[in-house]
Amino acid sequence: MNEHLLAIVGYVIMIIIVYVIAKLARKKRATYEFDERQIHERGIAYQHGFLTVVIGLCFEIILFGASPVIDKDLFANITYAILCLGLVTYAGYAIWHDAYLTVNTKRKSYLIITGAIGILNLGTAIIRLTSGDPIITSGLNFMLGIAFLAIFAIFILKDLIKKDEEDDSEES
Amino acid sequence: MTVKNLRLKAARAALDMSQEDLAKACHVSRQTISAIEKGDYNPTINLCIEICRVLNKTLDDLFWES
Repeated sequence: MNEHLLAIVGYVIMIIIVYVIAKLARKKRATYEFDERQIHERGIAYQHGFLTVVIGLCFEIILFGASPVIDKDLFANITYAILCLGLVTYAGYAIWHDAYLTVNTKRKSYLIITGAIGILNLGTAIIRLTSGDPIITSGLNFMLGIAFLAIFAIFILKDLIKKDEEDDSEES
Repeated sequence: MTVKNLRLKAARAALDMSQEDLAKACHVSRQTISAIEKGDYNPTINLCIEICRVLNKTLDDLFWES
């Protein structure tokens, strides 16, 4: 009991320390602002992402509610998949409507980070698979890898389309 | 039904400003200016006022139906 209490206190202290450091670091950085249109679009993106997660979780509950035996790993992996789908829905909508990054954010570095996270996660999952681990144990890595690479792909696609749009808008 | 804001585009072109230039002057993204000109987004009154200030026009000139 004492060990549990100590662990909880430790977590709370850690969260407070991280919060304080983040607050102090934020003051030193330049403020990143979204303009009014971006805020509006991000609100819609959040709605889509949230609804995706809620509907997905409802389906999951119905699916698992009907079965007499619940496989914990399978349940966890399906939950991860739903959460990642919600993330991709939110990010995808926001990116498509030019509301994901602020004017001040460095697009290239963000792209690199997103791609790197995707590749690292997918790489980790593949390595674990090839070393004999069952696929269900590396489910989270797979989901995150696919999600971040999907976000990366949406960025690239948007960049290709945006270039054509910019040329058209200035000509007409 | 989207209605293009051609008056805004004309006023911007008269000052030889690109969408990017106008966006920076109004502290918004280029895509927001593009969306306003295409009629895909209705700006708030504050943004309308800011755009008018930068382009040296009135709200009637750029945004209100004549």
